[in-house]
Amino acid sequence: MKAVLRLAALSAWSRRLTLGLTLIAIALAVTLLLAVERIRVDARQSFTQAVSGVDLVVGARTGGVQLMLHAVFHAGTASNNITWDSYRAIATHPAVDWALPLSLGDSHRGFAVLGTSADYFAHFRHGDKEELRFRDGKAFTGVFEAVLGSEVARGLGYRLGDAITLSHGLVERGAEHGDKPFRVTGILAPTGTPVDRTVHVSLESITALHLDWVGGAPLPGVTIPAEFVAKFDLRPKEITAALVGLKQRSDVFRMQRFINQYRGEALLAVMPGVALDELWQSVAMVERTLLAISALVVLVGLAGLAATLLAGLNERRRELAILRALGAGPGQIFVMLTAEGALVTAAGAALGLILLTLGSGLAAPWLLERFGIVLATRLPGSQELALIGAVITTGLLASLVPGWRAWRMSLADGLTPRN
Amino acid sequence: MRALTLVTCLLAIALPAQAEKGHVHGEGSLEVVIDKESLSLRLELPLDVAVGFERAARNDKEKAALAAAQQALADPALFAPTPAAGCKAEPARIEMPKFDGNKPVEHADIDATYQFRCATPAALKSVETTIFKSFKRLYRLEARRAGPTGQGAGRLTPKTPALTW
Amino acid sequence: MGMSALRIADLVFRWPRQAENCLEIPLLELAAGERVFLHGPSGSGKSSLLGLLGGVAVPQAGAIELLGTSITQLGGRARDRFRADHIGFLFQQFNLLPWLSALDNVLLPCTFSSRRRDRAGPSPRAEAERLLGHLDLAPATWHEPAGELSVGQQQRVAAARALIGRPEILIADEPTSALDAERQQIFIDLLLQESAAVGATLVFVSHDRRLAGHFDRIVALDDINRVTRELAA
Repeated sequence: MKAVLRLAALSAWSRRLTLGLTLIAIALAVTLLLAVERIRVDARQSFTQAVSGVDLVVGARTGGVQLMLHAVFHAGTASNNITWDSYRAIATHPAVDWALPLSLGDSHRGFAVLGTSADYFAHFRHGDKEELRFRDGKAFTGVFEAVLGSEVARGLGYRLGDAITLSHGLVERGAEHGDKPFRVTGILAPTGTPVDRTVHVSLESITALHLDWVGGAPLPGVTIPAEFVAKFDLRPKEITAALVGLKQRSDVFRMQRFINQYRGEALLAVMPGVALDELWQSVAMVERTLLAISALVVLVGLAGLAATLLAGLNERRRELAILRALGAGPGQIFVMLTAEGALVTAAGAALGLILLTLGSGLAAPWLLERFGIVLATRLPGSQELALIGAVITTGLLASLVPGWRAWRMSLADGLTPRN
Repeated sequence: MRALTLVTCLLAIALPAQAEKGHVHGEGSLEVVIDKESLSLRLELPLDVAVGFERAARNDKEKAALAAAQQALADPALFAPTPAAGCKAEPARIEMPKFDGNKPVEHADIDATYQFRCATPAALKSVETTIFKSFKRLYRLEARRAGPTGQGAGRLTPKTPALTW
Repeated sequence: MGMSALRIADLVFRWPRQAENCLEIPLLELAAGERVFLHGPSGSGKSSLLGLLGGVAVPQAGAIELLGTSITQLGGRARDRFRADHIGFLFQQFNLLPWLSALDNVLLPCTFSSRRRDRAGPSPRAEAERLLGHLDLAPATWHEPAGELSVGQQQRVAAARALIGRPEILIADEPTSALDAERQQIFIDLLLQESAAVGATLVFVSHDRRLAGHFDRIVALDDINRVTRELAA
């Protein structure tokens, strides 16, 4: 049987062009299937990792989507702001343990700039309730000081003490705040969350940056030099959102009602974990559809494989008759054809996995930036292995057809193919 | 990649729903909170689901229906936490809707609160309910949960009457 | 000797789903080491007979004994094994797996039959090379893919393959039909010589009586097969 399998491999190699094309089709289909699955799993994973420890995300009533994407993933465009007074009302509520103000809207060379309080580094949790750790330096204490996420520092090659300038808006070519450079006081350890791609500054710094700005553009003819900003009242008037941690978890529903019914301003409080679960509930159908479509694409690829093998069978009648004469039984002929199909499927699946790994390496930065999804480069998970197993099994089943046909043929032909 | 745009769109649909959970016929809501050894459930059930009308009782039969619903809800055995957690129920608190005479109201809900004390709360992994057997008009409970392992949401139906996490 | 290499008695064969019998052979017996020219024009049931001898087809009635073994009583797998162990086949043309080298083609019987491998000597590879050399194939061609050799070279590689491991029976089906007249005789002489060297019983099937000159015995299929005789009458 080993000899037969070796011959099957050699025979397949001799038809490598045709089979190679079929193999590529299968590989691409497998890549698609696995990519859908991986993005699904990693999206869940990274969304969940990014919000651990936060009981409520608070923002303007305008839209929960922007609120979650913006406040947690620093992605998307700014929604409406909430007033500092509302924030204070929430932060000082007796049930609230801590509240972190967030002010977004500026960027530094494609990385989001987050204005917040120094408490952020003490209270923010990621992954499995892990604290933020400083790889270098410490939190900002004054105006025009910045703490960099690990990816920012690594990607742009910054070190402690370097000076950076921020841009207005999230696009890379936004107007510059070039007159007010920031000094890097700290660099965070990697977290695998959007924190890695964020520049953290104090809320006061954000206010100071925009003292001489109105409506998103510098006031013409007015410049306030950096050394004078301390003379101004730098308390923020508005923030984008707030992350809230409660003293007692049991208060979360009560607190959510309190915020949603807040009289001063239309506020929205989102329980991030609940929101994500509800999101998964509502996208489950779409996920299943996508997965089904990719599965269909794989089926088309495997049907193509079976068709290729069947079409090649007529030309190989001679080959099969020779093997018969040499003592190969119809069963061995059957195994040979089936093994060839299974081999091509397995190779296609392996190539698909490689393509996925390469592709996800390329797509990962973009996914992280646009959607806050951390696409991990890793070995396939159990779900992915199950999918690969299913693909190979289906390939094997599809290969039974040419195998069966060759078996029939070798019985009918005997030693002399009638061609 | 288009899938993600879709995901974003679906976020748009899914999230505002959380802001104001409306009153939907046939649908109740359940809030599950685990705090140290206490497990508390807050159930909101449209009166219509419980008794088939949404106003003050007009006759003895309707009064009896209200009383029966209240009594059925007062049984904490409606909810069964993971047995391994060793949870003991405390008396349930039922708040029936109040009506101002016979004035028509838009919606009325029954609020029920169930409190459990659990010996090993770390073993809490699910809450199962038999409420769908008692209230045939109820076809869905939207559940939200907050506990030491984080937050979550789930949908309980007569076919899947358990919230697991 | 005494034992016959091949004995067919009261054979009746019909292809599945065909009304007419294809072969009815009351008796055919070949002695061990005999070199027989089996004459059969096309349509005389030649390939059916070869299929029966190879054990890929089974007769409706009668017995086929090869080397004292009644192969009609063997199971399918055992018949395949018997063929691999005891019979060397040689066809008209396209005998080789074009994607294997000439040498690997020759060695194929040794991968299918451990008996043939054992009988090929301590090194089947050396034996294959020896056979190729004997059959006048230059060493330069041994490692070329078989598909790239000339037809004459291919037939000689096929002969080497049929001979390796000294099978007791050698069945050649029109092996010279693709060769020109001059080469035909050279090839037949080579085949007779080599089959004598390994002591095999040679069954050489052809429609061309002119090739029959050097054989021990000539059998006409038309003479032994009653079906064809009736049709011809």
